[in-house]
Amino acid sequence: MMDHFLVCPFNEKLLAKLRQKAIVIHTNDLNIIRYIDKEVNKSNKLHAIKIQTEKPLSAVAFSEDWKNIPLAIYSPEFGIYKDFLHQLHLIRKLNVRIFLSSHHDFNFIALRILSSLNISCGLYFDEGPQNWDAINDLMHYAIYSTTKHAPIEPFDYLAFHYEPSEYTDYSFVYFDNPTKYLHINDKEQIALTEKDLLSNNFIDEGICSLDNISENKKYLDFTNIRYDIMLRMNECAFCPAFRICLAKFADLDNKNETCKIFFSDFMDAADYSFSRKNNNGNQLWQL
Amino acid sequence: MAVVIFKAIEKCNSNCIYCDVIKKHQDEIMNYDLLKLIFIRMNDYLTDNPDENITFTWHGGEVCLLGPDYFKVALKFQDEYCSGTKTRIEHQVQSNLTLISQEIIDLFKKLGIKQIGSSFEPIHNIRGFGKKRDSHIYNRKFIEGIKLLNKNHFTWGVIYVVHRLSLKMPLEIFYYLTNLNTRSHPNFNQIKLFGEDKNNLAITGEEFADFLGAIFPVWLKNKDRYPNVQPFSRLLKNIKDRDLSMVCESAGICSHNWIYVGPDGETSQCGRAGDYSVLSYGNLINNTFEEIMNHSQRNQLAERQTVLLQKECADCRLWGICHGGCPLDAFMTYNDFMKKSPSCDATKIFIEKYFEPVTGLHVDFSPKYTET
Repeated sequence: MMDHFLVCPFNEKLLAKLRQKAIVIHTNDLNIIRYIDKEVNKSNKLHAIKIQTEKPLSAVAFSEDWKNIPLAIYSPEFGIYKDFLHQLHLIRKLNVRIFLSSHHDFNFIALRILSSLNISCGLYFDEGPQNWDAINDLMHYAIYSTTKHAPIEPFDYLAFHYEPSEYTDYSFVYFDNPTKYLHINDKEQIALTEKDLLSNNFIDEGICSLDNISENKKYLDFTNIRYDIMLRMNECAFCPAFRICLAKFADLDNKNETCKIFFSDFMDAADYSFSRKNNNGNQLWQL
Repeated sequence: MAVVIFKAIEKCNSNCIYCDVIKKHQDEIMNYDLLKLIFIRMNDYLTDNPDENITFTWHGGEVCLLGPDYFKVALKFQDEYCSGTKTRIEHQVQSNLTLISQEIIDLFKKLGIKQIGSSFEPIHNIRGFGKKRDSHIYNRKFIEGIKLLNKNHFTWGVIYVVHRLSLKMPLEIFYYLTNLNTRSHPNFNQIKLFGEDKNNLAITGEEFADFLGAIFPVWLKNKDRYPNVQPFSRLLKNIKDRDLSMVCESAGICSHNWIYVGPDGETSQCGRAGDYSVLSYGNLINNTFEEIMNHSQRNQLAERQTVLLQKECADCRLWGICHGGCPLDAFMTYNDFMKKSPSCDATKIFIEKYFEPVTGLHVDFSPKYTET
């Protein structure tokens, strides 16, 4: 029996076919959050609601009603600080993680603010060029800063889960690694990632096929995808940070100036966290 | 502990550019009578030496060319002829992994094998199939092999042979190999080419030292990330902790505990001696393990340590971590086992030019120090 978490739209017919599954609902409808929670938990277990909104964070009308519901809110930009402050008291009561897009420069400052206000938050990587310096700065703050602050993803995830002798995929924070999360649509078509689902790249169809998904060839191929990257022998295969990046930015042209620098620093930071955890906080550099 | 380098087959499905074994063009496979005899000989040896163990290394050629039936028969012979001693036989395997199958892995498991030594080369057409050394197909098969090993929870590691083309990209090769396998890290060895260097792949000791030197600072800074890269990790342990466990070529104690057995039952000092057809200790049919282990020719290898200490290595501060290097290298270069190995140059240059300046450690393993 498979124990994947299922990421799907809120569709009562679909949910009715599922039993005792851990579910991530993705929606852009802020008005049905409480209803989703109630309906999903009738016969399944709500893991989280992923809310993708086009509104700035400050324009999202947070509700008392959302208390105790696990929420991941994806917003393109932070918005107006004053408006946000009005809701701060309420947001702090919620079980929420706020993700802001990497494509808005102020978001890098906003994430520091959210984190320092003890609000769990994160950066999501929009398609297209990235501001690698800003991402790197934020990562340094998230991992190295000793000031008390809430986790900033995906940095905190990696710092916590990194183990030097393993490959570590931070996509879990975005519900997007098929060893744990499978994506399914209203037509019961199953995809390995959110991107695959949106581009109609399915691996199977039908709820009943979920039980044997771990024997699905495309699924198995995906779990070994790192070896295909190694075989292609492109730049990613020779990159010092491959084990934490897993070629997520393989399409970039000038990797030496962009992702390679960031992910190498990110891996150093992960090593630092690992060393702190395993050496009681002391990192011994001496031979 | 005795180490048996067992080459039931010296034929290979690959045509790696630097391989000494395939140059022998030996197609013979050890027959089952001889295979049976080797287990009988091992049992006799272990019975007579109750404190001894044998590390039995399946080597080639490519061992998977033997096919599953061969390993089934080996298991049967071990059960039949080593029933009281088989717990003291540890099987190991060296394979290029391109022919490994689930059936063979299942048999390896029955032999107690949980890890496999291999080799890999990211530079194209160095390791590969056929005259053109097709590395694309080779690499794909290799990757299929490691997927299968991972599925079976086997560990695997690679030796990387450093040659002239590697010199252009030491860090890239280091990162590639540590990305390919995050759990077990590579062992860098200098290419050994004796005789004609048709492909211009040979490198000097200094070039090898420079190759290692380009990687060493990165490794040292991140040694928790890449814990077992050799020779760095071993050297650091040797020098920092004065832990003198070493590989055969630098331990200086290989004389009386290694045996090569070839497909026809001929024995020799070790795998390399077998590849070069030197130091023959007779055939398994006519000699017991005890006789082979105590062959008079071995004495010269034991005496080598004394001779080197009196002559070439008398004042060397690296003696305790090198012991004059591999006697086979000395013989193949100078036709004399009593000389130090030419690989000493690489060790010395690496220690003085890179290891000591980067670590700040001073290395003193001179004979005088080692004696005290």
